[in-house]
Amino acid sequence: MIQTKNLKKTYTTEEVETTALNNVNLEIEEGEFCAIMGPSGCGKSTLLNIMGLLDNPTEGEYNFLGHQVADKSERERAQLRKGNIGFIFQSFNLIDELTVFENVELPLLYLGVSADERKEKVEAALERMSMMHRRNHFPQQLSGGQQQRVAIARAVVANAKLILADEPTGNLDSDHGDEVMKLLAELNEAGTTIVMVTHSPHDADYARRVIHLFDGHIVTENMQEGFHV
Amino acid sequence: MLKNYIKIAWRNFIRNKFYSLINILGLSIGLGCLILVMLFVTDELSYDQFHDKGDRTHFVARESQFGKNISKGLSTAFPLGRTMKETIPEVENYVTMTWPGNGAVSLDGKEYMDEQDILYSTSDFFGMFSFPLLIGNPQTVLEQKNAVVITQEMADKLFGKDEPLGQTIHLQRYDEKEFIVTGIAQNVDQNSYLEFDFVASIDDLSNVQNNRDSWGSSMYHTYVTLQKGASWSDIEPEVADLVDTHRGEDSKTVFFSIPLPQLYVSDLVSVSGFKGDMTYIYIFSAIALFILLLACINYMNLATARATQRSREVGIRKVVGAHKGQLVRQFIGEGMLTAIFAFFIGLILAEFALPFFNEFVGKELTLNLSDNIVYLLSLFGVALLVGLISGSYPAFFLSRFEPAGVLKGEARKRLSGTALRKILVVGQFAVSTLLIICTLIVFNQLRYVLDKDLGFQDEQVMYIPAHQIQDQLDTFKQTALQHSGINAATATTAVPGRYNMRIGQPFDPENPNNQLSAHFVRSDADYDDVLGLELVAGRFFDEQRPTDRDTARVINEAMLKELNWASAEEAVGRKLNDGSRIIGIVKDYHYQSLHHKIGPVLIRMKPSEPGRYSSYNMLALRFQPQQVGDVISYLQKSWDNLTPDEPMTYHFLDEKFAEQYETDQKLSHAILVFAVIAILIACMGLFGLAAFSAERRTKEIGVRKVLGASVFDIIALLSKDFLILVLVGFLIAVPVSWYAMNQWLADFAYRIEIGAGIFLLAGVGAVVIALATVSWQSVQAAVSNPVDSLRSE
Repeated sequence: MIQTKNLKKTYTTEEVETTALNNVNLEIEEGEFCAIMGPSGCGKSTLLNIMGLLDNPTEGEYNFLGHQVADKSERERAQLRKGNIGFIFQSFNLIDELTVFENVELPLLYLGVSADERKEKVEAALERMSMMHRRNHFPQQLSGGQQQRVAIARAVVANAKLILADEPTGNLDSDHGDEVMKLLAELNEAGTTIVMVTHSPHDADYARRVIHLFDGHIVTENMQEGFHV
Repeated sequence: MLKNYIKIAWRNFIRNKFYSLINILGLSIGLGCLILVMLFVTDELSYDQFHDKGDRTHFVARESQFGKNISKGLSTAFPLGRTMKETIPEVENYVTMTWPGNGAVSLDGKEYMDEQDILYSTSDFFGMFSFPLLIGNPQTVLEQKNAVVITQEMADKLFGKDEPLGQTIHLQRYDEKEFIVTGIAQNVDQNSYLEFDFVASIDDLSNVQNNRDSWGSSMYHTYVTLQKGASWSDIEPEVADLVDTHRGEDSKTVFFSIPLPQLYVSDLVSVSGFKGDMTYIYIFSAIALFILLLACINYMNLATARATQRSREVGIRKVVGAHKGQLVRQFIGEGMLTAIFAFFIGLILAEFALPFFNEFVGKELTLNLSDNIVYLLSLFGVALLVGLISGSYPAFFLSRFEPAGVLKGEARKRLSGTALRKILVVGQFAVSTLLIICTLIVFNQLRYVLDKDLGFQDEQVMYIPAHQIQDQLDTFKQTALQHSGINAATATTAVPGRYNMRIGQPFDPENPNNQLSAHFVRSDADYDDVLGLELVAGRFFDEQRPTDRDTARVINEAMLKELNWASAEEAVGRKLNDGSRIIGIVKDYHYQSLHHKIGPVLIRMKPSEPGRYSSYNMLALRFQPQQVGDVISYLQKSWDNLTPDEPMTYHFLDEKFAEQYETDQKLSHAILVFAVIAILIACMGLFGLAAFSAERRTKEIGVRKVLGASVFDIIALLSKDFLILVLVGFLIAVPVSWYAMNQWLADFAYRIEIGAGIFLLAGVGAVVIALATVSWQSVQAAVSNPVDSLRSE
């Protein structure tokens, strides 16, 4: 599903050039649950953004679902992202002005799905996250764990093949964090590929494979045998 | 999708009530002003646009040179139109008429009622102008010598249900004549300079009898229609030949064209107040557009400043699949939605303000859906455009955000003070300061003209137009003088502000080439006492010297100068070309408003054998202010004894003289109102921006306070940036207003000089207003507890 070859990303300001990623070679198969770990500033989020087509690499190749995307335009990337990739963030990133239902509905609007079908899919996704009873609430009326469940519903509503999660439990207490991790594991069981950036070894235990990044390159890759379920 | 956009726009609107209100209110006021001003402008520009032959019909105006004076006028000689048609093949037709004026109408020749809009015309009136006739043939309806065409409204008023055709009407304007109704015209409901209730055949008018073939007296209006394809420049040489043939080779008269559709707004046509003047159309349009621009800038500034809040939404939308174009459309849509909303509020504001506006401009404009549908739709279009313009900058600004960054909260750092926003604030304050400066200058000039020593006593003087009792004026004067509250009285033809006669000739027999045009007054010997005129040399008239009546003349200093005579003393006793002698020189006084330079004035007494037109026709009196009520009722009684049927009217000289500045006064009020609105809008924007700036810098303020900054330091820090912008705006406003106001002041012969003081005052004013606006926010931010702001990060 994902192949990168000599991926490199550098940020240049007037005075300094920072290398965020350096020669990253990575292959992720469909159906994998992969955790990326490493200290702050090691390039985890940069890698996730490139994988999620939110950012372009400075050098190297990136093949997503058989498309060479390293130097595609923003519009083309947006087109490929739609319906294929779902995002989950540490700070949830729900739109405050929209209700739970409307937040989850948003990706379907941009996909041009009909109103009836949208209702059906949003309700199914909310059902799956046990959030149907909160469908007309606004994000601020929910707890952090609930907000993250809405965010997951939004990520899966369009049947994304890949879910990218950036420290999904970082703003949650451990109970709510576990709840979210279980949901992600369930999604993975059902066939969704998940790539997750995390600081927490506990969360990483849910993944089948853990990639350690340091100073922009991969230092170790472990396959975990007895992972959490 | 649209529903989603509207929903989010609406919820954003509700969530940020304060900023939304600033935006909506600003845009509403801006659009409201535009609606009113454009109502005025379209009305002004609609005059005489409806004539079928309007594009080839010309008003023939005149420019004459008299000595050094060049005067332009509307009036031309009676034979002009007729001769043009006879001698110039391109002239298809002509109409010679009197200007529309007031008169009286009677059915029986006994009881008259006053009516407006009576005009006398040659026969082709209805052939040339597109005023439809309900009854009558446009080509022939005025051919008969005593024909009159009246409007439907007049027919109903005068004859009720009776058949109007063939009825007799007595019209009294220049003289009294009988006319037979030969046609009925549709009521004139379109705007026209030629608005009429009666069009009577001009042939029978007594002044036409005398002037039918005279090129000497210019007192008629001439219109010509040219053949299709011909233009005025084609016939210009032939028109010039006409002058040579009929007024002599050395005549300095030029006839020129004012195309009919431009007649109403041309310089020569003076309609009262702001009406019929392109200058005011430009001034008002410019101000309305400026105010709208200020409101648009507010929208752009606040929308981009708020971008920090919206950036996350942009990021999320992009993450879930929106591309840039969709986001641009969303934010432009929000701008347009705001503008539409503002348009309707602006419409309501305009509706409420309309009565005041109407009184102000002296019109009866209406605003309703059925009459103004095209107008309102086009303004709605303007509102959409306003939304598009104000929405587009924020749209492109916001949709540029990279989701990777904004979702991590980097936006706050990256969005600080964009250059464009600063330029926009500078622009707003440039406009506001400009209007402050204009207001100050206009007010200063008006105070100057109202306070200036006029060279005569205008207080405690009243005058009574008395042409009705012309023959008994002396009796009236003597009776008036018997009242203890009346100190002096004079019979005359003119008082300052009410001059109407000019006399042009080479006055000096030793210098016959020096053509002069002088204002001409006839007065008795007490004129100088009543008006408090000062004599520089010689004496004023003396009733005891019988020769004064016919041969004595008094002139003013300006005339002395124009005659190139060495001194006042030397001038006394000199002969004029009509055999009269100068007996005195009066000091220059302002016989006209300060718009005009003091020109030559020639004063004489009425001749010993006066004719109807060479007598006095008004009485001017100096009275005791404590007894003014008493004086008026006494005068009224004496008047009634002389002519019981005619009403007496009286005017106070100072009031009448000041009335000449009525339009200037109104303009000053208009500019003041607009300046206040402009400043208000600019301040609302600044207030919003200051709020955002304080919000954005919460952390910085916290850190600075922890490190020991005082409240004052913080206020200075936050206010400094805005002050710089205000000052730059001021620097732009200074040269622009200096230029614009010099243009305006050029219209006054006596004017203030624009000094640095006014600019300084306006600059300080703008700074103080801006500081007051910004400081509330700054103080709030400065006194807040740093612990709160640092924790929130």
